[in-house]
Amino acid sequence: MPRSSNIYILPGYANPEHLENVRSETEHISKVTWGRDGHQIELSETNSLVEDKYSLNLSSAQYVVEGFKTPESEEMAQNINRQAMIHHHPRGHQEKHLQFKLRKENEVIRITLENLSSDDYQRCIKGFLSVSQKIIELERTEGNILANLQEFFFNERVSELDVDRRFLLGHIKQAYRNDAIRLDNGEPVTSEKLQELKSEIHLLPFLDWED
Amino acid sequence: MNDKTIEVTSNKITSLRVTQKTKKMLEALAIKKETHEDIILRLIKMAKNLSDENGSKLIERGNVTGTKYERIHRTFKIKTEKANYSVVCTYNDLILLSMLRANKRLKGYISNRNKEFDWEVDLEIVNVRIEEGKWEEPINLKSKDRKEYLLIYLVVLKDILEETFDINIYEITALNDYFERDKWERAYKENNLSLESFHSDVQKKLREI
Repeated sequence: MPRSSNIYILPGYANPEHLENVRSETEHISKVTWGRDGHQIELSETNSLVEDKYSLNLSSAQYVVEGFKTPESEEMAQNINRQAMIHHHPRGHQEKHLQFKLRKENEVIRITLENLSSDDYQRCIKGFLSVSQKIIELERTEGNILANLQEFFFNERVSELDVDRRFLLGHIKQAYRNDAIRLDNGEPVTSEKLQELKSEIHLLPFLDWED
Repeated sequence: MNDKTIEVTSNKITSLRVTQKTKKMLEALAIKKETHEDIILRLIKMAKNLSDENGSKLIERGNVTGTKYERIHRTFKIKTEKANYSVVCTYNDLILLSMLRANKRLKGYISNRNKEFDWEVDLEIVNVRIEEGKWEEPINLKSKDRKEYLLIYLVVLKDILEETFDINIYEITALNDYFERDKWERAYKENNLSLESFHSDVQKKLREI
């Protein structure tokens, strides 16, 4: 592992009023957390201080009382847990990659970002942050949340990251062409599976590249 | 129905039967005041290091031998005249180099050269806590008190060298000794430590005061 190569991007684009920094013995976490009525959305950036490990993580969780039926459909409401991240670590899948945990069947999708310089990796991280705005907005409309989550999570500078969003999507498109978008069992995503993934509205912003 | 009982016990002391000769051989490997358990645990750690895919490696290409270092980390507790510190540091894993130093025949298996391998500790302080306060970036202490920061660095460096190479750097004991370049150079030469380490880990840092 090289000497410390920590990445601190979230603090530059987060609303400073809601940004929390937590420094422990071996990790530094910066995060913004919104929560109300059993619904929590968190954007967090974690740097290991002792090994080459980083992640920018967007997670949302909705917890319902057991036995509660949704008013719309009379179906039993379920706990919802979603996670999207861009990260790298020295164990397991060691290359820099995006990882998504989908609600359906707890499926995990990985998009490996190949042959990235450290500058390009940081651009991809900024692109992820830019896409996070859309995901958070989706959470807001789906969850009938009245609060202005865009203002809660981000400062004005986040609008500068649109060019990095396009940069990230370009790399994701390249990853698809190189069979570097894979399911948890290691199988590459086929064109049929890609269409299925695009129907997951929380995943679509990451797969919405221009052809 | 499953009738299995899972027993949870505290870590009991057991006895190990070895011959008198083996016991004396084990005791001969002790560093400072290590107990039998300490010696065995250290040897287990060294054996794991050698068989591990991770850990520092020597790489030979023709006449050139290079070292690919594994970075390890540890938290050190240091008490100076000013405060008590907890300091998290990362540095190169030098266990392999230490073993080569101690065992000439092992060194001979790696290459036919008689020259000592050069190495460096490449110590980095990554986290600091003063007394029982919050963990902070090291730059905070460095910008407030550069000399104290350097003292902590040198104290940790000395501890790493002593423990890794089983030596006692008695030349550097009192506060002012740590900042004496000549004392460090003498310590390195008398203990046959890598002069590359002296230049990059010590001399370069002392110039920062």
